[in-house]
Amino acid sequence: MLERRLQWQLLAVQICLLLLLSKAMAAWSIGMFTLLMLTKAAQLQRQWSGWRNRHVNTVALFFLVAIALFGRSLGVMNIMIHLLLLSAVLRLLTLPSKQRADWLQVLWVHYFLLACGFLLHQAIWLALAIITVGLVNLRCQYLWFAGKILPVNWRKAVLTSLACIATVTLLFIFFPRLAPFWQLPGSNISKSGLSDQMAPGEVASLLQSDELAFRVAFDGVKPAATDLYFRAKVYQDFDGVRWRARQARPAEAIMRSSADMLADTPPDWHYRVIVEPHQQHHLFSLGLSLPRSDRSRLGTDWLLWQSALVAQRVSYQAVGYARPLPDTTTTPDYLQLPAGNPQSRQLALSMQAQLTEPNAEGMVQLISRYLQQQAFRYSLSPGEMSGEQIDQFLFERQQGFCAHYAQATIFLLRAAGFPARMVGGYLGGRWQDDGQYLQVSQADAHAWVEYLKDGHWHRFDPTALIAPELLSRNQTFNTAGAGGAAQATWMRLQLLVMLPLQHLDYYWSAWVLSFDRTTQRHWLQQLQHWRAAMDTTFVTFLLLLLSLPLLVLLIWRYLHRQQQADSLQLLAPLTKRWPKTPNCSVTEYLTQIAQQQPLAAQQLQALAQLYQRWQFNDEKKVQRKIDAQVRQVIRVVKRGS
Amino acid sequence: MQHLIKSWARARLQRWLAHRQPAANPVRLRHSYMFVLPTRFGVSVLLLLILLYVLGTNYQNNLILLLAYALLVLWLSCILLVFLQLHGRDLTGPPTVSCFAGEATTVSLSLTGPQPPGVLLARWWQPQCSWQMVPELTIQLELPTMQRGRYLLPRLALACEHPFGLMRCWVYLQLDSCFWVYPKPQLATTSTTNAVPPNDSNDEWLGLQRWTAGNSMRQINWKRYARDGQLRTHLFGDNATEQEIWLTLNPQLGNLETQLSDLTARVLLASQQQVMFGVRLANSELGPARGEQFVRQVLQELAVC
Repeated sequence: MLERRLQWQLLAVQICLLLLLSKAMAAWSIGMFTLLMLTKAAQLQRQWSGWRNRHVNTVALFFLVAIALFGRSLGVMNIMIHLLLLSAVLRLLTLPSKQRADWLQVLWVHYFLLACGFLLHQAIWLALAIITVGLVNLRCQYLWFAGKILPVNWRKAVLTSLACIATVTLLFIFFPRLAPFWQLPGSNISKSGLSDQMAPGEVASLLQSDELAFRVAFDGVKPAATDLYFRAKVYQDFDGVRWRARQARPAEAIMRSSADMLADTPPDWHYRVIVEPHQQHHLFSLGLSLPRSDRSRLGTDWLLWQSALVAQRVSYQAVGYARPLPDTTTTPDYLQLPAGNPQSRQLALSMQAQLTEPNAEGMVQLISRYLQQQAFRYSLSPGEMSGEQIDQFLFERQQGFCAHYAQATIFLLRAAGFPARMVGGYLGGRWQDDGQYLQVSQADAHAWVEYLKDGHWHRFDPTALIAPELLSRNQTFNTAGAGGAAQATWMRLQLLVMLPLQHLDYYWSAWVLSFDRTTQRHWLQQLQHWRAAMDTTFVTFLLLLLSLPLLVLLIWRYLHRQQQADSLQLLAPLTKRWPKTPNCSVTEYLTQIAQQQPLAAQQLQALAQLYQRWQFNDEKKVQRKIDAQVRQVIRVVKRGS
Repeated sequence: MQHLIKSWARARLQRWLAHRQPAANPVRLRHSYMFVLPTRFGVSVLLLLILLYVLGTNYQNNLILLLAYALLVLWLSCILLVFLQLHGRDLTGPPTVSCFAGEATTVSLSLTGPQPPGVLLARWWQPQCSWQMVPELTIQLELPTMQRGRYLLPRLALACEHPFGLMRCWVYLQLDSCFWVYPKPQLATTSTTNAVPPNDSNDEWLGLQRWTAGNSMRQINWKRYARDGQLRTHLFGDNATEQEIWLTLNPQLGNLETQLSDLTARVLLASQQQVMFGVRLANSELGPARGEQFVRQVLQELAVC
């Protein structure tokens, strides 16, 4: 009975694990796991006996061959997840087994797989789901060692959980944190967000996606709407169709030396970014930014990046300066242009001729004037452009979105002999929770221009000239939804439910997920005044660890005392008449009274039985009967005397 | 070699325990001789949480670190939880246990305290005994067969892994209970099947005795009851001076054990027939007397003879 029930519960845990880990799996492996789990369900339903070892070995061999054939592209980590899940599923199929190790193996592997689930999901809902599955697994473990089905004692469970949560929180904050020892293999999951190659058509699909890209919280001053340009990638090579970004490389030496000049200047913004996983290396920076976290680094072109793929939610801190970026490139190839687009070249040359002195800024002004004078419009669906794209855009269509405007501007600048490059990133976002943080989604993806002037790169956004509303859109949550009643309900639902949930997820990321060594150091510094007596973190940690058993002991003592007090309270009317010596047990005490008061002996005996049921058999309902019985005893005694 | 080390360690532990926990009945489970150590599963979970800590550190994933900490807290609290399952309980055993050699006997021991939610395990601390589940607070354990003699009950090993199986708490308890193994009763073929020569004097009237529950109703003196309301019963029996037999070892039988077995069988026979009997041994003489108490005394004498 117990074994059957445990097997069902373990199967449920495995199904949840399969759902949670499906992101790391291929379709064929999900299918195979589903089949195996259905087999287990049938086995339990029909009460078939467990699999023998040869069945297990056959299936395992089959699976390994399948992985060797089709699973190469999965990456080391995903293959590890496959093998772990396979071992748990197959082991469950052999149950019920006499071997205790078989059961424990399933439980053990489940814990490991739950940890793998945390690698793939960090949003609060999925994290809570994983924790729930973990608790079910823990309960299975408890029941297995209890040897029988026990009802959940909620009071005890809640008390214990609270104590555990408190201790885990302390450990989380104070347990020494180490830097990563070595680079672990990542999983092969498709990239998202801006890619290293950009064609305007591809950006259009990104602009229609509502997916979250990253969230930023500012400490102190918030930047103006016109400064919310988050740089992610710099594209310089153009082949007539696509723009290519160079791989970010560490350039910290150069960057630091340039940064020295900023040493005395206070930064304009302090900010913390929480990035959703996009399976690439780039991070997001505002203006001229310097990283303030362990994991984020400064790369070429003043871009922030990290050496490991952003495969999970990542958080970093940085400071930003609202100023042009010093040029650090040694090989200027910012004049490269593909052949073609003769009309545009012609336009660039005529503009160059208008300049009184060769000045990039003047050229930019001419371009803006040109864009404003002509009937250019902002449109997300300008239609397919092929061949001479720039000519088509500038002279035929005269409509498009950020990427079109940026590439045309860069073409004109380069054709006139001024170095320029395209920057891919995000513009604006939505302020959330009363301006506590900025939420930037993929729809905020943007492309703009940087041109070189006096050894510094300056930002120029031609799109903002055409569509100035871009700078002000999304700044607040749009409540005035134009549309029918259905849409209004939807909006209200979003306001009431979705928005608080989003905030919760943000604070979860900001406090729990992004807690790192920097934050820990910060916290420890905060606590320094009372920690002065203690020398090192290690002592603190040791004390905390030692105090844990003490804490549990205290709680136990407390509960124990409570129970004793209860029993005395219950018998208070009796103890008032006939005082009770502390070291004699309640049953002994009742027998003593019975000897003194033979009239009430029968009632007292019944009382003793009730008391035992209440105290040792844990029957809480008897308490009322005990009260009644105590009154009865006193009545009998009074009547007798 | 391994065996030698094992037996040496066991002897060492036994000596230490004898000092720490001398025989007592009832015996209280105190922390000074309770052991708590991680089980094999506990060690594997410890490895798991170290692995998770490394994984969480390397992937810089706080949630994995949280899971590792949660497991650590669970692991550490198990030390105390499993200890509290057993701590403070009293184990009571019967003052004496007796059986005949070659016969298995079950000893019933009781544990005080609230019903544990999990399974307790118990066994005698002897190499050939295996763990048995104890579903309730009364422990029924079969004693292994032994040579005749007088023993102390073997140490009782009591263990619990209950809440999560990560830790095991156990004790070796010495109960102050005598364990008598009487010689195996086996009547030699040469001995008579009847311990007492048959006689008919069994119904000689000896007098009146106050009636107690269990006496035959047929022998009540109803006339006396009618007169003064007191229940008296007639007492019949053999004349004590006349009926008295002496049992001795039969030297014609082979070795001492066979002789003792034979004598035991005859003693049991005599007690069955409720005769007055005495036993004469090489250097002692018991009785003559009758009754359970006396039979027990005789059997105990035979056990250590």
